[in-house]
Amino acid sequence: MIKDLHTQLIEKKITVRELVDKSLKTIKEKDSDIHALLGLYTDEFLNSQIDAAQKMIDSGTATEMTGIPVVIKDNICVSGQVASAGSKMLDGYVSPYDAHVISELKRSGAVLIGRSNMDEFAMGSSTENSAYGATKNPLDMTRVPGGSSGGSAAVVAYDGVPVSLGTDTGGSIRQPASFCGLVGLKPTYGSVSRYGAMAMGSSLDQIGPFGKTVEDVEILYKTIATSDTRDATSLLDTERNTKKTLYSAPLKKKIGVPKKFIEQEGVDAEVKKNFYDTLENLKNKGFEIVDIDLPMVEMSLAAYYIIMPAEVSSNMGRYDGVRYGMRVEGESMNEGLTKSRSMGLGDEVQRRILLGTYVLSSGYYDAYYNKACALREILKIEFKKVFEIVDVIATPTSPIAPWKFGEKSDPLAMYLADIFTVPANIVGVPAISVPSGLDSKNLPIGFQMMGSWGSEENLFTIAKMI
Amino acid sequence: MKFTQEALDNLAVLSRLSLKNEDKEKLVEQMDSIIGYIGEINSLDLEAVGVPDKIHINVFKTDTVTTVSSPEHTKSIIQNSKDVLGDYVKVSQVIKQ
Repeated sequence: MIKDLHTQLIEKKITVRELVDKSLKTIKEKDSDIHALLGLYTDEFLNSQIDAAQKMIDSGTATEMTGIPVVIKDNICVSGQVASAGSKMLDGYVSPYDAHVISELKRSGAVLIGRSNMDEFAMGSSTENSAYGATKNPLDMTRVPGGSSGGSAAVVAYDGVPVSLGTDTGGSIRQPASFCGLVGLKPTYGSVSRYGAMAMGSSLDQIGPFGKTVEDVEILYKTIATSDTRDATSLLDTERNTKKTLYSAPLKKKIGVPKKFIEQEGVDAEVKKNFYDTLENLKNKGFEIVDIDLPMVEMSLAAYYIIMPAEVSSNMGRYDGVRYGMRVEGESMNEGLTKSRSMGLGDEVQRRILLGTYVLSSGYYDAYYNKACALREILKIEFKKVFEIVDVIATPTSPIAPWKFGEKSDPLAMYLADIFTVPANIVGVPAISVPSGLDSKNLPIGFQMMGSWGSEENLFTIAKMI
Repeated sequence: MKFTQEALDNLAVLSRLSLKNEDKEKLVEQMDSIIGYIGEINSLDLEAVGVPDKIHINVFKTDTVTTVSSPEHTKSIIQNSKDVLGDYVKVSQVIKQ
């Protein structure tokens, strides 16, 4: 899709303005029902980007991304534009700077259109936790689009833009991609700089792309995956080159399947059938399917719901109503701070702050947080061993198809839907979700592949065969 | 061990959150079920599987300050505060007389 649009732009069959106008027209028609966007960027900003992109095309300096409209998740900062992270806490917040990924997109000549709806501060799996109302799934309006990057998925699904950016802390790109029939990538931890992305779980967060094809996701990923000194975890160029060399070796043509993990209770029968059918299809394309054992992987979800809230409780400390965000006055500094946070932050955010405070509190720290961190190291070793044998580890992306609004009102039930996506964040490996068909209700199902650290190229290669 | 409302009230103070009385009962229930779930991690015998000694490393390199402060930079940063006096952000009194 991007390549086609690029050709049309270069051959002057279409101008950047026409392409952007087409995008804006679709958004205008569809978004009042779907509510994928929280707002468009200012006209002045849009016009300057359109002019800059057209100049790049006219002068022969265009990249594949030049002139391509992109939607950005509302927790990624764009200089001079509003970014609210789907929260009342940051209602009307105007970012004074560009995130690293935004600088890279601007450099590529991409046209940033607007900001997408999300679960508040990326905490949720359905986009129902947005303080500005839920986003609907364009494939079935009675169902959730997944989350937390539900808006970024929905806008691509209804053809508002060809690609978008989301963030993924425990599945927030892959699960909505699966729910909306798209491709979504969570890159290797350290691959994409998080400078300018509002932190949720800092040892887990990654920014990544959504698209309709693996090729589009690959193009956007390569545009943003560059080294940045402003994120202490960003991989250096030398480290990237070492990894590139490591994975330029031919594929082993082996796909690992953790059967026990997939056969656990709560995984929908149709999801499982679709998963095994997809494996069969890959087998027919010359891949060997290998049964693998990841003894501790079932514990990753418990570890995730310890590590993530711990980091949330720390990261959310910055929302004090003083320097930015909602401010409610109180008799004292402390009272004002408490009031601002209580009124500005939604239920799920407050629940995770409380939970994080619990697991980090004296007396529980060793029992929960330290144990989860130790488990994380054990899981890394387990994954490393498996990746010596196979190219990728395959699972369904979500244990169930998209659910109806309000169906999962119990927080724990919602958390359990993240079972297959959290391991990649816990160990830091890249993972991609690819559409693999529909269930009997015509709801999309996603196939997830996790690769070894830095092996995005392998993921793209295999994903293109599905 | 059952999660109690007293524990919830203590956490709220530490978290700088004031919870509504009508929400507390439900929240205690939810926290209890979540803590029950994550508590499964305690069934793990880490000694038996062998805990690696190198843990908790997240910073890949040292931070260096690269932003050069300028009046425009300061202005763009404090524009988001609700109460500003010149180049300063105003806050309520911290220490009482």
